[in-house]
Amino acid sequence: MTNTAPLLSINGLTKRFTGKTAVDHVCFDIGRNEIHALIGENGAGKSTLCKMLTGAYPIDEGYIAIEGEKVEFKGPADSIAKGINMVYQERNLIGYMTAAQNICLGSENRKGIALDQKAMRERAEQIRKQLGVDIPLDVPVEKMGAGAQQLVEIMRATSIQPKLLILDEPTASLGEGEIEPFLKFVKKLTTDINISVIYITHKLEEIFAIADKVTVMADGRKTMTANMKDITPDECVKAMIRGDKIKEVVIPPMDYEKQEQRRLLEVQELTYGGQTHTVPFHVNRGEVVGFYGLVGSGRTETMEVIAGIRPSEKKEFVLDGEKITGGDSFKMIQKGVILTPELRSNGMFPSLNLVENVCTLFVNKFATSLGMIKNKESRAFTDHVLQKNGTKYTSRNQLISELSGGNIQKIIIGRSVEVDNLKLLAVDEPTAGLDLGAKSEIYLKIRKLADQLDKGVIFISSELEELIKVCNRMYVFYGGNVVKELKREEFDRTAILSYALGGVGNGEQTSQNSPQPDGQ
Amino acid sequence: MENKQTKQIQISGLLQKYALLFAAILLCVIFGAITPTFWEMGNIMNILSSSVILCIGALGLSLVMITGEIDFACGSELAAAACITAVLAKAGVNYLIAVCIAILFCACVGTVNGFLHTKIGIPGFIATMGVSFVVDGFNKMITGSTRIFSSQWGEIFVFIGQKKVAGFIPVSVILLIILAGGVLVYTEGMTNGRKLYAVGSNSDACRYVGIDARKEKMKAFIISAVLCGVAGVVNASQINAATPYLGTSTLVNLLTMLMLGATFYRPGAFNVPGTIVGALIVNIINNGMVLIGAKTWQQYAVQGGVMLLAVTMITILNIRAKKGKR
Repeated sequence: MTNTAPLLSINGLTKRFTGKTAVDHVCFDIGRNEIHALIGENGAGKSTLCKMLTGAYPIDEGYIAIEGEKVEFKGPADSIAKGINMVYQERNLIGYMTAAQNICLGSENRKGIALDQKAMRERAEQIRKQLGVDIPLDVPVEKMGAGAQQLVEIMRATSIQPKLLILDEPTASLGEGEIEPFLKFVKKLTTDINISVIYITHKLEEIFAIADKVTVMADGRKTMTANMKDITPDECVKAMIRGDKIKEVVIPPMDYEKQEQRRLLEVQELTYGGQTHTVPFHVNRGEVVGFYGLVGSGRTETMEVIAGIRPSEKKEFVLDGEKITGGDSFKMIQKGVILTPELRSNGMFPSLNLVENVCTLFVNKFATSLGMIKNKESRAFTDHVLQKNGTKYTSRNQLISELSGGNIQKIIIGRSVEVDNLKLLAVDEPTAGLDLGAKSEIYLKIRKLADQLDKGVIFISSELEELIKVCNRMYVFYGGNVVKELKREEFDRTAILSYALGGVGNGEQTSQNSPQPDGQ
Repeated sequence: MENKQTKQIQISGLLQKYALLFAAILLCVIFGAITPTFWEMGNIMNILSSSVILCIGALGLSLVMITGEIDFACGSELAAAACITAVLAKAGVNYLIAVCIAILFCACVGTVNGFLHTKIGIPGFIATMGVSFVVDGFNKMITGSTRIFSSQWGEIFVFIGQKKVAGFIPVSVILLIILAGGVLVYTEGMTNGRKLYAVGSNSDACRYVGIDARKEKMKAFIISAVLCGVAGVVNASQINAATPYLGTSTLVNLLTMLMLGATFYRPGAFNVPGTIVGALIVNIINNGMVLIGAKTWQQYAVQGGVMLLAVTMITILNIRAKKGKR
């Protein structure tokens, strides 16, 4: 290597949108064979910066240099030609096509006018060998797990022999067990095929596992670039949030024996999707109970059955002393049990305004006995919910889809809490995709419900860290069943992970073949 | 300065929301300027009474379209009500009873539509398309595929369609105003309507707030079929006869009105106030074109153009809404 200039040098890149500077004079370099983590809260400007690197956005100010040579991108094609490729957070695969076909998508080999399937298969095989990954090439990608699909995406991205690969939150859709092998794979990429990686993520533990350097962004500006070995996670967090936006979660000590007298919900067994699942768990008043498990472990499905959202063949449980054997979500909400959806998009009505979004949960409450809506009261109630939860909005008549994810989540949880006679609130992945500040607000809200209002809360999440931070007790799910109950004092990351993988808590893992209940 | 900006956004939002109404007024002014007869009371009543059938049908179809489905059988339901009324009246059944049976039949058709979609799970478009063929067949069977007419069924048969109150207000227009008012209250003022719009906006989210999307869709299918049936009864009364071919072009005409309506009030989504204004515009254009002596092909071209324009606007609105979301 004669050229000593860094592989990619970003010099004062700036991007302005109407009224807002999304990226503000950002400078940093990326060396050869380097994994460079890029972190920051939502809206910090990471995506915008990368879109300039891939040529998707024109650059307002500053320039990019590759190996010391100044380059200019008119579009994504120019950037790819210079060796920069990006794997986006959303999957861009064609489900019914095989891995090999997906890898060659857009650069198919041809024999005359027909596609040369054999040549494509060979090309894919070559890439597979080069990267040393073990995935089937002839299976339609829709039959693969999230981790394998992610690998196919990366194989496609490397098929053009890039110098720099940008990975945008590559582990967001992976289950806990898939992340570690994936990280090893990324590390290997830099050495085996001689490329550099920009690794965008929210998860600090990942970058400390693999990255060489980190650049932190906040409000469009770079706040720090450092070698990983010189810094601590706390320093990263401090650089991400300017000011003290994160509030500490405090959990009052709990007298478990006394608690057990205040039983709210008790479940033993549920039959849904043609299978009987053993799910012995209970929730007491005034506590936050975590549901942890991998994707498809039944953590969501179980709660959906309880809340009357998922159809079930047989259910029987005791809620506040009352035996319940049926009932749809309408009935369960009346009984004081409500679940907020795993996907935020399932909790909102995008083409309706804030009043309608808040009040759909209370259609009958704010109406006369004849069914005429009381508009004045609906509006007043909406204002109350919005203000109580510190929602940022311009007008209650604006569409909910105009708000940010965090604010939408505040509305979804905020309205659920207002349900008359609320006993049990279940929140499913409430913090997905939120930044640290917004996450900590949700944690506090959950704790407040339990500690001050004496409600039962079930906190379903695939992020172990947040469950450990917030919950009093935790249930671990595997294969549709509850496999372990842990008290706060017994929380132990390795053990919990091992249970979630079907093990027995000593780190040993059995084969991972959890059935995937079909998500409707 | 920020205030000024939000105010500007609000004003442009209002303009966008009510653009269709301004367009309707503009059209009236233009046609009025070209042909003064446009503004005569007789012509206005003419516009209204000639649009009654489609407007009633459009009100019904709106409810289904709000939920995100389509009732492909609306034309068949219209023809069925007309044919059943005429066949029964000809056979000597009391007119009012005949009308009741016809409407009841339509309610049953609506129930079947709803059942096929919500309980069995066939996409609404395909389910109602299948039903429409069956109902068409039924219409042809009971009428022998011919025009049903009788001099025996008397004045009452043409009462709704041809009679006027106080000498100039057609009975059918009064019926339309009552129905439109009723549907408007149902969708805009009642809990039913809020649920209906919620289902249309995101039927998956309904389960999480305790709304049974299938029940709401079922109701919409039934009301739609009943209103199309009422339109059919009015249609038979207007022409003092019935044929199984009455509803053949109904759906296309209704869709034009609905598409236009989706640019109004709740831009990007089907809604009842929009449908009413959309129906007005279509009829003003049709009437105005006739008054200024346009040829048939020109009328077709204009109607097609208007529909395309409406769809284009909805698409742009939706794209913009999605961009706003990012």
